Amino acid sequence: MFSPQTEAKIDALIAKYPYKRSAILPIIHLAQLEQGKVTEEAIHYIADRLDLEPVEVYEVVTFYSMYFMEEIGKYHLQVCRTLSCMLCGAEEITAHLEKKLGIKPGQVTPDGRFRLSEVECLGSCATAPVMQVNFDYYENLTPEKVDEILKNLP
Amino acid sequence: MTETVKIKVDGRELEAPKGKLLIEVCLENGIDIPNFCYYPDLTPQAACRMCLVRIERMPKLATSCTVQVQDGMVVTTQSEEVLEARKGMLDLILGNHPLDCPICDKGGQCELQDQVFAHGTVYGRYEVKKNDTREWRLSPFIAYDPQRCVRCYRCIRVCDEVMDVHALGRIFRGAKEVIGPYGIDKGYSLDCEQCGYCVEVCPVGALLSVDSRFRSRPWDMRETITTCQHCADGCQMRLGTRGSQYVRVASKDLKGINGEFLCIKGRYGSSYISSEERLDNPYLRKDGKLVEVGWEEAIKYVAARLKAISAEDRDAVAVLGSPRLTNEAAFALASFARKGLKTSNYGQIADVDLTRFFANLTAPLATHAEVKKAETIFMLGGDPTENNPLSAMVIRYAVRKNGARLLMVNSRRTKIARRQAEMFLHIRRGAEPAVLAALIDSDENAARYAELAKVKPEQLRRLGKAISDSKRLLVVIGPEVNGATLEVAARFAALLKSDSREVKYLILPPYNNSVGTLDMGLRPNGHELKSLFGTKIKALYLAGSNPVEQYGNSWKEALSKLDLLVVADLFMTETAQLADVVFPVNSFAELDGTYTNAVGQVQRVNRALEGTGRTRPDWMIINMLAKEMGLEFGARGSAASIFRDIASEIPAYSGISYDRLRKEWAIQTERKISTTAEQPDALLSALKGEIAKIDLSLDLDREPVRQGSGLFRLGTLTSRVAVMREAFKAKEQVEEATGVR
Amino acid sequence: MSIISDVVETVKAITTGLKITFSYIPRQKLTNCYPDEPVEVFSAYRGEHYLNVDENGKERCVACFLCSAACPADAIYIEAAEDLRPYEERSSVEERYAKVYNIDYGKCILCGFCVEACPKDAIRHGHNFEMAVTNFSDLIKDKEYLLKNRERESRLPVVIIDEVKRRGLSK
Repeated sequence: MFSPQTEAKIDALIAKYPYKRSAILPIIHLAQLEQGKVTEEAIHYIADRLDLEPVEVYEVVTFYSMYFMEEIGKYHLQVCRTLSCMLCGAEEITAHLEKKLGIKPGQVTPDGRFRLSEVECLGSCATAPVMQVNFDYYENLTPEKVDEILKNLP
Repeated sequence: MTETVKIKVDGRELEAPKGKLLIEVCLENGIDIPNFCYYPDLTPQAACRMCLVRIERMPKLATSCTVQVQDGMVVTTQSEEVLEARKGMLDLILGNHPLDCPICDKGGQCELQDQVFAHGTVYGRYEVKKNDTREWRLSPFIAYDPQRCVRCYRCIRVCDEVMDVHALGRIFRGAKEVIGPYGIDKGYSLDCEQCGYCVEVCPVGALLSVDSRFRSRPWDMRETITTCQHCADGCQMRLGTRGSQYVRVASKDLKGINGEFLCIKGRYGSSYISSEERLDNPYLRKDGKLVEVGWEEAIKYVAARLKAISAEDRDAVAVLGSPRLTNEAAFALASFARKGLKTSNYGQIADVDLTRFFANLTAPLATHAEVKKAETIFMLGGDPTENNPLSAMVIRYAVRKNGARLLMVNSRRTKIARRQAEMFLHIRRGAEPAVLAALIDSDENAARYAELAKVKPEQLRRLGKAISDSKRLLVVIGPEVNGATLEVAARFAALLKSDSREVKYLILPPYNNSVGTLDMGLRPNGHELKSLFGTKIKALYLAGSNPVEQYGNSWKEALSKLDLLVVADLFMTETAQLADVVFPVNSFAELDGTYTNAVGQVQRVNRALEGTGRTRPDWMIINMLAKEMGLEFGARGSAASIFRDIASEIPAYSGISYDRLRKEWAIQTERKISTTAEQPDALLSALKGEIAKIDLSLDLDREPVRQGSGLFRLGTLTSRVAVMREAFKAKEQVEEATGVR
Repeated sequence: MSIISDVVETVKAITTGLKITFSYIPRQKLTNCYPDEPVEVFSAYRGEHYLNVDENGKERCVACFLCSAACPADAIYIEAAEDLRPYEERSSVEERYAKVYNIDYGKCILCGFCVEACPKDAIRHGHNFEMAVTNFSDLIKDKEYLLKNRERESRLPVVIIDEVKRRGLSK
């Protein structure tokens, strides 16, 4: 189902916990990382590996906001909307991105390049407003800075 | 015995076993604590928070459904604070609950309605807009309205724990959370046994049966407690009727052998009683065509013909019943044949011959309640999940709640084998006698038996060890065990019984009254008599059986050789179409009677519907025939008086009466248990012939038993149930065409 | 008793009686010349029922059976059915509707409990009292008839008087 490296990681994760099902969260992350989203095949595969029913994996996937069953897009723009960022203008950043990309939070641009999301605190309140693109932080944002960041993304 | 503790609830001193849930102690002592998510025998959830109580020296209000009683606990359930908390919780629950009680099928027996009346506020304090969601059809049987759901998760827990199906989950989260199957938002439907247990336990109208949708309301229908007529477990159910129509089957708050458990056939398989296809008048063949006639004409015709044929040769008239008849009907049929017609050719059409089992029984039969408490279960064949769902449920219960050891020997990978069995010996088809012999024989022959059964000798040894280690053993025997093997299985307990070990049996016959009709004297000799049709047997009276549908052309040919074929049935079945005379009979809902289930318990069938008045119970038709023929066999004019005859004539039933059944619901008949000591050698020699029959060329059947292979199969009755026919007909046709089941 | 006193007493009695009779002649009439003239009925009069519809003409009844449960005479018979089409296409407000809705006026005692019980304001009392039929079975009125009763209201030979206004009780 997955590449040998991922399979090896899954094996290691299952071995790590006293109960197999405890490994469910990191395994779904691995699956998502490899395939760009959580596919139905992956859910069935994971359920099989962990001796669970598919619906039990499905519960977890639909519960957490960081698992996606649809394409994530190449760049996942996650704008913090919790208090500090909001006060420092996160709403403005979101509005700017919405206008620029022509999508609402939770949507993906038609070319599949960007997904826009509003997320809760990213833990970098001192440098609000903050946006996380995939795994990288961009801090002290202004609309101009956002334009710059988007332009420089490969 | 566990330690008892003293607790104080609202000033009352109570005693309870230590570790018991506080809510259970309170409810048992008549202290009302409102709850949604608490449900007996399920894991505590504490999701609804309705059962909040104040416990002294606890910082906050505690959920009584998760607190175990401790010595000296002081609890308040009625203070201002607690009442206010309940009001608040109900307000939260109603925050998104639509007020569409007039439309909701649950209205009138809804736990939320009751609790809001008892504990809620008059006006809700939430003024926000409610989430508007549409209703989902989870399957052809079950509908789900997420807005009405109170998120008590009873449905999920009952599906996971009691049914072991794991079909439902909590999908999404927070306010958007719904209960549903895998991929509910992608339009996937519920892939499960469709037992409808989730519908039964739902405290509100979130999960509903499609079958009874909008047909009636709880106060508008009459509910009659009766016995299910599908499998041999004999579950009790509430049959709801309105006017002359079937409405639904429910099992809420039942105290019978099954509690609130029912399977798909029990819950949705009874609507055939109001089917349009029901016969309404007798039919008589005139000029090669069956035409509707009056009762008098049909009875006169049959009586005259039977009399003529019987006068020539008494044995030329055969009487065959079916394992679906009530005890009363079977008894009347047997007496009619034996004392009235004085023919020796009577019995029933059935595959499993339990005569040899009961004749050689060496240990008592266990009731379902006793199975729940079993410590070691040895299953030889059988797939109760598909064919005897209540037996499967109690076996699962024993494993889940008591940690019973389940030792399984089966030629197929059944669901219980895959999920509950501690030890599963996957054997060659038909190799049950070899396993039985291995358990009886000394160790040196183990290799030979292992070879025959296609298992490892070590496995047989471990099985033997587990059985000999057991303290309380339950032997479950499936329907594939028959003939001499069945007899040896019945005698097997004599070898195991000892002062330190108690042994009981559970059998899994296929039909609702397989055991009862046998007790009434209808031997399962239908297939033997078939070969005499046309030669020795000229006329046949066939009650409640449809062998042409069940066994196909061989029966069709045999039946066509008869001079006279009389069929008494509910529908114009494939068999009835061949008949010279067809009598319309009452369904189980339209008559009084009794069934005897697999564990030998007699239970009442209560009349729920009036019927059209033009159909008759089986025993009444027999009486009419006997009267017309001038035969005297001690006919009785009511089901109750026939049962009095049964009680006086058949030893196992003595002392049982309708009066007692009304009070006790299920009374186990006492079986004769042989106490003679058995010799292993005698048993082994009895098995020899059976062992020789094992086909060594067969490989193991590795295909797991598919869900629904028994539950979803359509028979004479279930194919007349609209909802089941629509759901499974297409599937069955595909399976027939491809040959894959 | 003399004959004279008898005559005097009789005349006295007749005049007393006729005084009342004649005093009423110039007064307003209390009787109606039904059926030549319309009858006055109060607004709260409990006549033959009608089934209500919403602003788009969809039946309000959801066949909840509460009216038949409330009915002390067991005069209402309902069969419910399901209509899963969207609101615009179906004939009822909700997806549950009454396939059969019969009131048996041979049983109905016009007590108004059904109207009280209705959670959807689907059944109301009209002001029609002309319910005489020549055949018993005609007393059973079906859903179509009861729905049309609403329109018939305006054509009834009655004048509906508002008790509150008449007595001058309203502000």
